[in-house]
Amino acid sequence: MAWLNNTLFLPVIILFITGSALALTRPQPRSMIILAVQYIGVAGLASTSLPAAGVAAKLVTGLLVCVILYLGIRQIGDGPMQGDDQLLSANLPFSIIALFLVTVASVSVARSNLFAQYDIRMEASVGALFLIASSLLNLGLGTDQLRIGIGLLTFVSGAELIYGFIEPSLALIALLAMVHLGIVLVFSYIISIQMRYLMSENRDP
Amino acid sequence: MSAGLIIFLFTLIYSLLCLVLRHQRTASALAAAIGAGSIAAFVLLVPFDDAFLFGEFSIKFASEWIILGRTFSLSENVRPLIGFLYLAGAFLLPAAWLVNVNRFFPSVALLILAIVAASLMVDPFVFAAVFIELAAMGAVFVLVTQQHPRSTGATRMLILYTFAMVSILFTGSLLEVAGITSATPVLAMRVTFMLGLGFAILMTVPPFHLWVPKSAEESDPYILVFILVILQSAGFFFLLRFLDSYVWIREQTLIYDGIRIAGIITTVLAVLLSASQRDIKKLMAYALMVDLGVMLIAIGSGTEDAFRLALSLSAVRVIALGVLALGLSYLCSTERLVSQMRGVGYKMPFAAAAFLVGLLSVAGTPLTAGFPGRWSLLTVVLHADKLAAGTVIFSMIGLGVLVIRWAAILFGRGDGEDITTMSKEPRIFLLGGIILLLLLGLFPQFIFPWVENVASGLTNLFS
Repeated sequence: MAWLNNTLFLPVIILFITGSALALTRPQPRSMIILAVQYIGVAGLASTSLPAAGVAAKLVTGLLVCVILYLGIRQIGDGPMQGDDQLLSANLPFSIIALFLVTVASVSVARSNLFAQYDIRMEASVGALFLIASSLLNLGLGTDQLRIGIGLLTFVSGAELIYGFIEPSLALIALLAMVHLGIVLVFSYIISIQMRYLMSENRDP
Repeated sequence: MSAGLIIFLFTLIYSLLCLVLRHQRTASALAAAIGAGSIAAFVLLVPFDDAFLFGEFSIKFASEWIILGRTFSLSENVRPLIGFLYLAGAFLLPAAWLVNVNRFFPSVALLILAIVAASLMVDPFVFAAVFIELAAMGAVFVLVTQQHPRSTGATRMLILYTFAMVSILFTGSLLEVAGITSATPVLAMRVTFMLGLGFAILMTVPPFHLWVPKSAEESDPYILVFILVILQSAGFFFLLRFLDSYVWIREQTLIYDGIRIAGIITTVLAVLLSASQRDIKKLMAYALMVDLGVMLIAIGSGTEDAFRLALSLSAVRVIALGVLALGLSYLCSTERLVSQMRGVGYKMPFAAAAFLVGLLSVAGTPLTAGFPGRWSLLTVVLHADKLAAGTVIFSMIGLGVLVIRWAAILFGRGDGEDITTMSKEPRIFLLGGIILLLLLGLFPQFIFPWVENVASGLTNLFS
């Protein structure tokens, strides 16, 4: 049980819990807390490849993303934007089985030598691939804009974890931070436009 | 002062000016067009890294600009490409006030141009993938508006472009870090696959085209054409720079075969799908894809002449698609299905004519701007690949038949309504576009200097 003594084990567990929670639960403003915890886990794993300043920048960006997205979507309340409830993906047993499958797949890929030439730590590889897999689940099974936005942010976080080992430059951290902020602004904008449209339709059927 | 900084500063100033003028649509669109045109002139005409006299002052613009340790270089190989993008903006933006676009469009469009320009300037150039992703984000802000609130197409686009960004970033690092050569076949295969995936998404090759017809359905056609022309051009230029920079990729015949096959599939699929459309906006989306498919066939031919043709096709499509979309914006302002379009040509003759001439040019019909490029491509690919040549002919005939079909619908017996009154300005724009398309059909050599300018920058590709 040597792996239990490994401090990087904790961020991986955080990513598994938060990634699963985001994939299994209905997206709502409160989901931003889970997303923020996920960003903390990502920052923990990123510390294996990036300098402290880079990790701090990543963490601040992540938390900022959560705040912006919360402010953008708080008007929608706890109800989903669209009828996700009628979809197969909203069926909990189906989602659990799908999540189990992608988790097994991501761990298997991480244990293979796919990234052998990059010298990536196993914990980072497992965490990153799980994030990518769970994000694909969110993107593939949901129609709710908020779910898609969270899925896209999770996907970029996962890819970024691996890419940090290849190119740990400040310029790239800044560019990818802009991508995170851009995604969150885009989805806040889309959700606000659709809310206005729905409200005007209700007012003037 | 660095030239890159000047481009970004002036783009920002013009963008802010458009934002201030957003309630005066004409002034805002004209400011955007003048801004894009003046920046294009600066990029194409002003000498960099050499002092020159401007009146009594000696001025020197540095071609390099360094931020966070990364260089944004306005080198000779990217100048014509950036100039082209801003010229495309200068051509498309003046008509923005005529159609039902969001009032923030000119302002955001200029920012999109600056971001795509940054993608061409950044060194190492694999970072361009991140800038193209940022440009795609900007595109969402103009595709989804209060007038067009549905967002499925725009969301699909953003998801796909994010996948492309990641795929190309990893490919770039594999090429840099792992030192891929033909002696490392496993890695080479992995790189080829990831590179193919990334560029297929950027160039909207099927099955990654699904966002295009959806966006056509949900957004204004003129905005979609602007976004597609700029983003596909960015992807195309990025591909050319990849081919120019890496000998290993340039020497792989498999890659050229792949591009050519992708072009053939795209063209055939798009012609067949456009023939089955009842929605005129979706027809435009598939016509755009036919044009792209023909361009891919040209790139996939892998010869210098074919690359030159691909460049000239990319220049002509800006005008053809702009005219087509402008006409279409008017035509589908109220209705857009076949059954509702009957006789609309009598009500809006200028708009119908612009739509049909634009489509004729995309089809490559003689006497239109699209013909010289298609004809030259046929002569290039006829001996090398009969299937590719057949596909080009099929696209010309297929779209030509579609033009006749839609002309019959638009000018068919309608409900007998009078001509819709159209003010002088839209008529001038529509007529000007038609005349320009016909003039370029007669004098295609106007495009050649730009093509040669680009070719002289990409020294490895055009030896």
